[in-house]
Amino acid sequence: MKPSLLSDLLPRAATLPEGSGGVVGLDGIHHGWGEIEELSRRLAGTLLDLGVRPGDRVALLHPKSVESFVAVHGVLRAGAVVVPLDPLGSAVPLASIVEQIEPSIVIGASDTLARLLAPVLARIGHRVISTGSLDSLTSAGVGIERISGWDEAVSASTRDHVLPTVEPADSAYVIFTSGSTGEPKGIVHSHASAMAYVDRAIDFHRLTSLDRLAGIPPLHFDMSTLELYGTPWVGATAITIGEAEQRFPVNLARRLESERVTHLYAVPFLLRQLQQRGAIEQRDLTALKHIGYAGEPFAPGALAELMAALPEVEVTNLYGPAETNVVTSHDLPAIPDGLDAVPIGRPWPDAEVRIVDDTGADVAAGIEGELLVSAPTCMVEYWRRPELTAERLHPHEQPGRPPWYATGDIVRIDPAGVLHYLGRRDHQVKIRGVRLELEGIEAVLTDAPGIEHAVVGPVVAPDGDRALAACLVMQPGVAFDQRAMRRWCAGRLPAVAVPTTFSLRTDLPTTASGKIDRAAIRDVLAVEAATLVDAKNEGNRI
Amino acid sequence: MELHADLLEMIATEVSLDPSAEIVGSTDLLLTGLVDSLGIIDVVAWLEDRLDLTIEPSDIVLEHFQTVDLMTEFIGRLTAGA
Repeated sequence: MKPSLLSDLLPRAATLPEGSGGVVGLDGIHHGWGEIEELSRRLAGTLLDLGVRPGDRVALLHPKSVESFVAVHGVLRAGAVVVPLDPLGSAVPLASIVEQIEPSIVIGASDTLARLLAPVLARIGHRVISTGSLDSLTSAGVGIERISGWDEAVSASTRDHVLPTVEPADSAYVIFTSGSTGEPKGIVHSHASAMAYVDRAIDFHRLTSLDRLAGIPPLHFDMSTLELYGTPWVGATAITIGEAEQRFPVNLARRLESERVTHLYAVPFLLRQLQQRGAIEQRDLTALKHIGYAGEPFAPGALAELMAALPEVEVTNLYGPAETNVVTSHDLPAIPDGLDAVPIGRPWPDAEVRIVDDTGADVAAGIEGELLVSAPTCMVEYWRRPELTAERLHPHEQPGRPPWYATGDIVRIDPAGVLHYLGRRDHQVKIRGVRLELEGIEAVLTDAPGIEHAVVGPVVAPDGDRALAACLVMQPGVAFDQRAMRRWCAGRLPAVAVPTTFSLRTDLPTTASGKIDRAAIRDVLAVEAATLVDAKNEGNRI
Repeated sequence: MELHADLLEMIATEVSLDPSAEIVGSTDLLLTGLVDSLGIIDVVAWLEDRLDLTIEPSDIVLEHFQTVDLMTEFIGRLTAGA
């Protein structure tokens, strides 16, 4: 029988025969599912002792590790809702998320907590469970009486606690993404929506108990759900990938070789880095069978180079906003040989799609329009944002079907029933797979001292990677200080959202109605960036 | 140690994602999130440009770039022709 709860996955995996997978830590040490299950049960017991009740939120601010894997499952087994946060994030949005979710406990690495959340933790007085030295937390003003060390939290004393009953409709986790006002918004998934995703994903990634999946996406990114829940479901092995491998493609390639990784799931940016800078021709990657990519389109030329370098590997393009999980996929039948974008493919089982025009009417076959999705993998709601939820989720006309989610993505369907992604209908962009709202970034820039107006647009960087450029108008008499601006951004925006170039204007074009013509400015930014690329390429040739 | 000082200055002003953070030779630039993967590429390009040398892709690894101390040690070995 199929499991129906995320919190049942580890108890189930622990009954598999010895040798059926587990989690490999950064140090290369293998931890079987039995051990991971035991640790998560003890942590769940500790959470109950600390007063966590079903439905409470527990924030997790921890680099990827065996501990963070255990923590996610421990929280779920305590009946609580796990909220993974970016350990390399910026203090201001992180504080905003913590204030929104009102966690009853914060679990994290002491250094990371002290660096990013100390003011919030000192003010609100949360209970903290921390790995690493507790000194950095106490010196950051968190009282020692509020801190439990990790070893104590997973000690055997709490292993026999009776854990609460969880229902499939209960909320399981909240993933935060940037919002258009600059305020992060939380996407709430239930055990049922997550399990519906994992059930399908293990088939489409062809994941079996013999496989070894590299856990590349960070925990606050929804793509990490495949390793967190898909590997225990089938009894596969999750290979923890750390910051070193994220930063250094050569380190990643070495680890893929030494751990005999069979499956990769990552954003195109990272796969491109691996192929271009990973020196993979020096590595034995013959164990690798399948690469799934998602998060943003893969430039066909770059994808062709990756596939040519790894000719035996099957590649799948997976598509789905964090709100719905993956809902369509396309297996690459061959190496792309042109400039045509790779299709996002056919809907997954039980996912219904509609393509509508601006009035909400279905378009004729082959005509572009906004993609609506109704799928059992869809989120429950946006965290404490009923208006936004009502705006994006519409009841299905047939009772009992999941609601329609308006993706904001413009697509068309071809005669074979395959979907093609064409762009966005709003100002959301994807940079290295991270979803960003241009208005939110503009709001942060405009708030900086001395800034009158700010317009931000996506540009293609010299190495083909996408980045952001900003166009600024200063207040009268104020000089622009790039370093001060970057410092302002650093505390308020994720790294990928900080514009790589700032250009100054004395005024900005306006539309007929007198508003700043953002579309026109974004076009100019893109053209300027392309010119720079040409100039740089020219220089390289000489 | 001129290279060491210049590297610290360059990383602090041009590459660091948090220009207000103090960086010393032993600061872990990676686990603190101060330098991302594109930042590393910038550092490599700066070193190649300034020292007129080529850094092989297979040498761009954590063990050589985690801190400014490690970077200067690595460059020292490279320029010594070892």
